[in-house]
Amino acid sequence: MKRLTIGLWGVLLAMLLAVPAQANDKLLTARSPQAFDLALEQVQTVLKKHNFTVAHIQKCDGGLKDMGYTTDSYKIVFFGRLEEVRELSKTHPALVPLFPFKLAVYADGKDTRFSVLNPAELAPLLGADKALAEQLVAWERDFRAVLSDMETVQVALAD
Amino acid sequence: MKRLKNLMLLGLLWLATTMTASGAEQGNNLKLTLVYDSPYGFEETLESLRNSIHAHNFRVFPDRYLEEGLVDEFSVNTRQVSVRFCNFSDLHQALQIEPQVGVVLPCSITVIENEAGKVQLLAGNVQAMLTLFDNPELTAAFQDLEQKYQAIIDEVTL
Repeated sequence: MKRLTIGLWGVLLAMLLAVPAQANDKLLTARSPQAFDLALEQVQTVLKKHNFTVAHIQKCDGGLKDMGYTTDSYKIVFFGRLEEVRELSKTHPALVPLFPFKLAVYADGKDTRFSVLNPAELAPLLGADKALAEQLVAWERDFRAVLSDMETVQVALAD
Repeated sequence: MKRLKNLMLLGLLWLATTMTASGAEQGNNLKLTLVYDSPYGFEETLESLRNSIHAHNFRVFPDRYLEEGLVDEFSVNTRQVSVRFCNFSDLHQALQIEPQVGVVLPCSITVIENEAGKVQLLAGNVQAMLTLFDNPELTAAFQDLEQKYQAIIDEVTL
């Protein structure tokens, strides 16, 4: 009976731990100690290094300021790979609203933070078939590599 | 005392099962994106979409081709157009509540015409998008956005 009780507590603990883990994994984030403008410049270089093309940058902060709101620096970098967008928008139209991918870049005090959706975690919400699930995992790997570069690579400050 | 302890344990177990099941159910039932067929032509659907978004008090940004910026302007597929829109008051509120919300911004609905001539509207499912942040305050503040999306799409496709 005692063993059963311990087992139940173990199952309970595992289940409770699993719930927040599911929620957190849906977004990938990184923090860079670099100032916002430098980090924004650098992330474009890093995306290119990983064979992504930066389609455009949306200046959310500029738009908000123009409308009279005060806000910290906040930009969205739209990026992707043409051949993937072209192919998958035909074979899996449900992906279209996710294209191009969006990387939120925003000031957090003196640091800069980056957030992007974790594609692999979206598989159940997209009803992904095997081929798409593999593609989502490949994108997750690429996104993690980009974020890892942003955490480790430093751009020298100009004098 | 022992019985009380066992009852508490069973209660917690039930709670944990419910939470896990609810998460799994959300994943199984919700779709992240929604696809609607348009009974109208490509240009007509686009024009109607822009008008409907305006009518719902959103600011409409210039259209963008889905492939724009990924390829040169002469090679871009002009039958895949994203109509992007925003309510700056909502945007400001959303960023205050959840800074990461930019990963699903801006609001947009994409109109595509496939090779067979079929016209479709594609949009993010607000309800599903909100679950990604696990932020009850954000969910509470923007639940009505889903109804606005639906009203816009209904107006365009009816």
